[in-house]
Amino acid sequence: MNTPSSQEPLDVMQMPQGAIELGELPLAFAHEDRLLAVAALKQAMDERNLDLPFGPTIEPEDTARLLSLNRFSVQLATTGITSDEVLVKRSFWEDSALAPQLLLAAAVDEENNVVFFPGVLTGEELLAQAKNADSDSAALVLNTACFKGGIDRLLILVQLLEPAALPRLALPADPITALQKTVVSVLDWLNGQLDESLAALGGGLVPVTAGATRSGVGLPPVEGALAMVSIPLGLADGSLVTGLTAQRCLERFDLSLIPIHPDGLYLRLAPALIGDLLPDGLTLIARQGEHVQSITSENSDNLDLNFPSSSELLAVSVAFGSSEPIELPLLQLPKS
Amino acid sequence: MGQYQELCSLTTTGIKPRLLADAAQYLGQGHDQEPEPEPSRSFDTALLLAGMRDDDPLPLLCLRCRISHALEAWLCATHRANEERYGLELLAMASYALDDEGKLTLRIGPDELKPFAHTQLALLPKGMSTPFSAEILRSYDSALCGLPHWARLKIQAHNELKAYFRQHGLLLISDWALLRNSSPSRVRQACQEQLRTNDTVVFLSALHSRYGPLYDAAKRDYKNRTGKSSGWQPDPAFLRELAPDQDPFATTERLKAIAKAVRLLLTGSSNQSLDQAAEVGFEPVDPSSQANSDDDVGPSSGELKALVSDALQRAMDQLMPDVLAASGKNAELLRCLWAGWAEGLTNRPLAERCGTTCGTVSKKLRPTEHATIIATAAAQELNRHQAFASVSQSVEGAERLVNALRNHLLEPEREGDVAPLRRWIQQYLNQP
Repeated sequence: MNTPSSQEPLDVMQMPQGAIELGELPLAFAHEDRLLAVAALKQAMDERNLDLPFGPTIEPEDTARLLSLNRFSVQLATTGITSDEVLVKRSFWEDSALAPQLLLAAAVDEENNVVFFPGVLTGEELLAQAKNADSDSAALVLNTACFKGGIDRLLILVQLLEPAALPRLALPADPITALQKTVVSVLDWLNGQLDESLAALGGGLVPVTAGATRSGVGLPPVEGALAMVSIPLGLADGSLVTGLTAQRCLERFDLSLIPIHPDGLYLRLAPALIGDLLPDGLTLIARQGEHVQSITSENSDNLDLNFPSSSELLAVSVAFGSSEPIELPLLQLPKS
Repeated sequence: MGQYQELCSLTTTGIKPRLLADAAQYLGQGHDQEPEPEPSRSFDTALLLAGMRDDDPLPLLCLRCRISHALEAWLCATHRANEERYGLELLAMASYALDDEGKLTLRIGPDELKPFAHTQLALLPKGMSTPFSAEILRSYDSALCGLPHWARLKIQAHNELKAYFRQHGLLLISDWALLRNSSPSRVRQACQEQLRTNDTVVFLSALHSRYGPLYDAAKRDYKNRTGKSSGWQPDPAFLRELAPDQDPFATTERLKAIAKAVRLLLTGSSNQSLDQAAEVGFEPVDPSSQANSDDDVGPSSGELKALVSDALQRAMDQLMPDVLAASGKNAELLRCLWAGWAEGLTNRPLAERCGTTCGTVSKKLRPTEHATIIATAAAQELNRHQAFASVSQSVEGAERLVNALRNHLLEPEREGDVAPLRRWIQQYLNQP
C-alpha cells in the first residue's frame, strides 16, 4: 500500500528552464495554443538574432499545415505545460514524399502566456518512438520526456544541416487498415479471446451483466447475451474516430457487438453517457451476403440491428456525414 | 478569537489577525466569551443567506474574515515552500490578496461608497474587484464548493499574482488546467499513490476521462465570450454534464481530490530532481577533435585549434555585446550578474551580491543558452571549412560539434585557467 506524500501540494510549479514568456499578443492568440507556440518560436529566434526563413505566413494556426523553417519541414505538436503526453497526428507521416523532417513539441500555458519547447525529434527518432507508443488511426501518443534538446536543438539542426541530411520517412501502414482485412470469429469471444483487429480499434470484452447490455436509461437489456465486445467511437471535428482519440471526444458513443443465445449477433450503437442522445445522422450499417440493414439516428438514444447466424460473413460499419466510415473486420458468426 | 471575527490583513510588520468588533458583535461574542462557532460549510451558508436576506454587511464581514484565513494559509504555505529557492516575499504576495481593510463599505467610484452588502456585490462587474474578498464573494456559489476552496480557486486565477510568480521563475497553475493536462496514466498513478478516499481509482479515472473534452468545449466558449484565457471556473451546468448522477458539490470535491493527488505526485518528483540537480557535467571534449580526421590532407591539430578558437572569438564578438547591453533599470543588475558570473560565482552568491533572487539570476543570466548560441554560430562558420564538412551531413556530427564548442566556452581547458566565455566577459566589462 503506497504511503501518501507528506509534502504539501503546490499550486505553483517551477517554470521549465528555457521557457519563453510571451509579451502582449493580439486577442486572437488567446484562443489558440498553436498560435502561442508559433509566437514563442518566433520570439526565440528574435532573441537569438536569427533571421531564418519561416512559414507559413498565412493561417499558421491551421493544424493541417506543417511549418517551414530554413528549408526544413517541421510538424508542430502542442500540449499543456504540465502535460506528460503529446498527441502527434499520424496523417502527416503517411506519405514519405510529404512527411515532415522534424517534429517539434510545444508545451503551452495559455493562462500564463508561457511556452516551453521540450525538444525535437527527427523522422528516424519518431519512428523509433512510435514502435512503443500508444496509437490509434489518428494519432500517436508520445511521452513529452522523449523530446530532448529544447528549442536549441531545433535551431542547431536547421542551421547546420543540409536538408538532405534529414530524410522524410513514413510511419508503417496504419495497423487498423491492415487488420480490417482479417476475419474475426465471434465464437472466440465466448472463450474470452479478442482478436487484435478489434483491440486495435480500442475494443474490449465486457463482462456480460444485465446492466452491461443496457446502455442508457430506459434501454431494454439484450436477452440471451453470451458475450459483449464494446468499441469506443467518437466525433472529432466531424470525423469518426475510435480508441484513445474517441475517449477524448466530447461526443462519444459505444458500438456493442453481442452474440446471443441460441444464435445470432446483436449490434447496438448507444451514447457513452447515460441520458445522452446519439448525434443525428449517425448510421449503423451491416451486410451479411445479400442481406443489408441500415439505421440512421434522429433524436435516437440507440441504434439496434440483429443478424442471425449464417455462413456468410458479416460486414459492419458506422458512418457519419461525409467523414470516412469506421469499418470493422469481417465477423464470422457461428453457423446455425 | 476565531475565523469569523478576526481579519488577517497586511500590516507594516507582517500579516496579522485583528479582531473586528462589528463581526464579533454580530456573532454575539460581546463580553460573554462564548466560543465562536467552528468553521463549517453550514455556518458559511447560513451567513451567506443572512447577508442576502437582510442585505446586511455584517454577515458578509464575518465571511470576509473566514476568507482571509484561507488566503493567509495558502499564501504562507506557498511562501514557505518556495521562499528559499525562488526568493518569494510573503508581504509582496499578500499585498495582492489580503487587501481587505474590514470596512463596511465598498468603494465603487472615486468619491462613492456603498454598503459592502449582497445587493452591491451583485452589481459589481465581473473580474478583479477591490478588495479581493469582494470578487470572491461576488462570484461564490455555495452549491459548487466550500468558501475556503473557492478562495483558493480564485487566487489561482489572480493575474497580478501570476505575474509576480513568473518574475520569480514560477507558474501558478489552476486545478482546471492541471486536470486537463494530466494523462490518464498520471491520474491513475497519482490516485493510487497519493489519494485516500472512498472512491476507487477506476471511478476517479473515469470521471477524469470525461473531463477533458468538456473542459475544452467550455474553455473555448469562455474565451469566445470574454476574450480571456484565464479565469474560467466550472459552473453547475458543467459539473452536471460531467457527472449527471452526482451532486455538483461532490463532483467538485472529487476533481479537487484528483488535482491535489496530481500536485503531490508532481511536487514529489520535482523536489527530487531539484535536490539531485548537479552541474551539467560537461565533458571536456576538444572541439577541434570533431573535425574530419585525415592525417594526409587538411590542417594540423594546431591549425584546427586556431580555427576553432578564432570562430568562437568572432561569434562572441558578434553576439555577446547585445547580451550585455541592457538599458533602463536592468542595466545595473545585468552588469553585476555577468561580472559576478565571469568571476566564477554560482547563483546564490550572485543573488546576494547583486541584491536579487536566485530565480532572477536564473532568468537573467542563462549562460548555457548564450554559449549554445555562440557555439552554433561558430559551428556554422566552421561548417564552411573542409575539415568540418561532414558536420552538415549528420545529426550526431552537428550536435557533437556544438556540444563540444559550448563546453569549451564554459569550461577551462586546464585547472586554474579561465573559461573562454568568462574571460571574454571580464575583458569586455573592464573596457573603459
